[in-house]
Amino acid sequence: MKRFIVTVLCFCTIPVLLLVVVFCITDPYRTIHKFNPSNSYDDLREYVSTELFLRNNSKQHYNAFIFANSKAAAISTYLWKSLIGDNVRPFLFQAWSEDIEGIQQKVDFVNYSGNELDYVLILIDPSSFPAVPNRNDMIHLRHPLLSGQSKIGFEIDVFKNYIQKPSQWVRSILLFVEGDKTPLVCDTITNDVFGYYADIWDEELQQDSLKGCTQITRESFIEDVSHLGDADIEIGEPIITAYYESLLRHIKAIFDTQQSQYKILIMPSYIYKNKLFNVKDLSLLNEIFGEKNVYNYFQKNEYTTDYNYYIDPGHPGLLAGSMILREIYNTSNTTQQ
Amino acid sequence: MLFNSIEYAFFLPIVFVLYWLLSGRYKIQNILLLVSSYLFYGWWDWRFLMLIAFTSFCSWGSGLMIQNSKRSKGWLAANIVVNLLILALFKYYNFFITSFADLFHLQCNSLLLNIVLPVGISFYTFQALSYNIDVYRHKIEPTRDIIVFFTYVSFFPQLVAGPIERATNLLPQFLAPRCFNCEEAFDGLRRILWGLFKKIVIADNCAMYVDYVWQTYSYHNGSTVLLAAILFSFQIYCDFSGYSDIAIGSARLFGIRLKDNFRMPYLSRSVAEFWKRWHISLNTWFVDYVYIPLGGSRHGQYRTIVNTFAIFLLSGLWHGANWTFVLWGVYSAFLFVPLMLLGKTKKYHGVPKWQELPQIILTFCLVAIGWIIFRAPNIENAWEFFTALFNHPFTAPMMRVGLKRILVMVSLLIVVEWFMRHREHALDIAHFPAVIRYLIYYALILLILEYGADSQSFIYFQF
Repeated sequence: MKRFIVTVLCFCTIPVLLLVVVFCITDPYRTIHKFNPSNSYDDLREYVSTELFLRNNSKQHYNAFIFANSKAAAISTYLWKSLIGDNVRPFLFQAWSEDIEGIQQKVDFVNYSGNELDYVLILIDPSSFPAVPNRNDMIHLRHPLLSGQSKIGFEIDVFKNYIQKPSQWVRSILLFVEGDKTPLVCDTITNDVFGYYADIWDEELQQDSLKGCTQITRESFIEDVSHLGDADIEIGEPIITAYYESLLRHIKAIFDTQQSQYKILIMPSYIYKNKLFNVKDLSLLNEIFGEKNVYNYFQKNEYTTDYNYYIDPGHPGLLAGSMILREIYNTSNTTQQ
Repeated sequence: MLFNSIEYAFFLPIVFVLYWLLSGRYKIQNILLLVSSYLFYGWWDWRFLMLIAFTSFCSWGSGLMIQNSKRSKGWLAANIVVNLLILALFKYYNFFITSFADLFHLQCNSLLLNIVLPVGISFYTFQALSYNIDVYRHKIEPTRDIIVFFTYVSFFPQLVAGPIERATNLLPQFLAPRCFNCEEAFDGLRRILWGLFKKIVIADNCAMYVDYVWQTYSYHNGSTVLLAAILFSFQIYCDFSGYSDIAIGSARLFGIRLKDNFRMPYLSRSVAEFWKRWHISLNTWFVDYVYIPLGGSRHGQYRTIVNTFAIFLLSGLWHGANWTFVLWGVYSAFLFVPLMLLGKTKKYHGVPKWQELPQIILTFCLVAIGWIIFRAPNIENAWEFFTALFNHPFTAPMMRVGLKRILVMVSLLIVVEWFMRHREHALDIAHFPAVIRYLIYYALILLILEYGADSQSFIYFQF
């Protein structure tokens, strides 16, 4: 019995202890030692966004913010800046799986940091109002400064995710050996995911509107959706709970105090694979933020019905995002419900 | 509580340590096993506990009455009726009502019951029934120890998806002191590891491709539909045999030996051999308690055929209240009966050889067609899926993210099973050098961590 327990304990604990040591030394997500944006880990997107903000804010004095989830991959802050004014200093404050609670925390954080919120663009969709928020996966982890979690608790959560993926063990060691040679995951000033294409993105997009999508995912996606039609359109149940409503009103109050020029953009999803916003929720958003500031692109329109605009059913490509940005800043709000 | 859940990862070691701390006091160990089993089962829904307790009590009481009463046959019949009525009520009532109403174009909504099917009800009901029949046949003495009997019915490793144990095998083990055997325990862990690999890496990954194609088969080419049919064969095998491996391994940690439920069935060289290697505990149950009492093969060829069809039909119906399962049973019988008539059911002995690969592939294809019927939500869908194999151009199958990985893992399974086909199970590697052994263990753990799909329930829980 003793031999059995000792063997099993050694079998389990030795690799775990070894991984703890590797984790502490290699610091795979740049959460333990000094943050380095050129070497950060893009799954931990909110952490990267927050650290980048802290690192740059004293020099940049950001005054224009995009608060968004993964759909910000369709939005270029460079284009946004060209549409709202040359004197703005934009920052994409993004988390891959952002929800309204996260946006409220970030708006609060920016406000308390003394920044001006002159221009704000909030990207939302039905996933911004989860019935049960997930806080365990890597893409859902919150920066401790925003969530109020202890630093050690945050590191334990990161480690729990790290230990579950052997490919990350290998990656962390390679990263450690290679030093800063890994490619950038974001623009180090604006935090723009597609910042690298600032000069060339129009040309790139004309050639490939689904840039960033691998061949297999693209083929699977097209095969997945090409047979769908209007019969597959579904309207979701109301998802803005009283709690979310209170957060939205809190955000609006800060915008009012800051006299922000803000827009709430409901991002499109491929309509035949996603449930539409409920009318009740839309009315509530209109009531809180004002009808002229809420842009609902998640309805039947050219963006939601053509799969060529999409990387996958939930993520429009940069071409759609750019066209929408131009529409909401250059023309009147014609797509509103 | 699922075997592939975090809860079980804590539950099993805690029960294991407590159990062996009580070493030498087997009656208290039995109480611990009973409490743990009820906790394990109640994790789904505590209301299920009342049903299993009732079934256990009826079978325990009638077991004593069968031995002590002059009306032993009556007590046996009464117990069988009670158990089957419970099973019929929870599992088949709505099915028969709707089938009857459909036949005569009647409205039946008001007659339907809104009840949840208790997990594993078919498994423990059959286990309880076998006890009473064995007592009646004087194969085993009824036990007066109610704790032991309740533990026998609810022993958590095999409670919800088998193997369906016999009282002749399990009860004596609960009635005797158990000693810790280190090698047995290590072998138990090996089986758990292999079972988890099959379930989490192969079955759950196959499920993603298979489920998607089954939802949209009319839009895919023949090769995609064919690939989905093949992958479902591996999904159901790895799902169910993975569960059995974890069950057998878990039981072995407690010094309890359960019967084997699978013996590498896809290496079978005929359909008859397949049924000796697939879900062995259920098939032998039907042979012992249905086929033989019906006369078996003792009353001429015609009766033998009828009896064979009867057990395949019942076996199909046992799997679920759906005509697809009945059709699957009929299909299986049609494959089996010709072999039986030609006297080829016992043709193959020993482990398969390379030269027998064509027979193995042919058997797999025949079985895979059966799985299409088994997987379909209704007979119409089964037919549509089957015709989709031929209706569309046979170009390259649809690629989805992770498909190559699935194919590599399935290939790995086939290779491992082939080379380990003469062993008790695929990870029976106690004789390997320690370094190789540990490398294999860690490699499997890495594969489970890296490629494990989202946790899904076991297919056989619904039965």
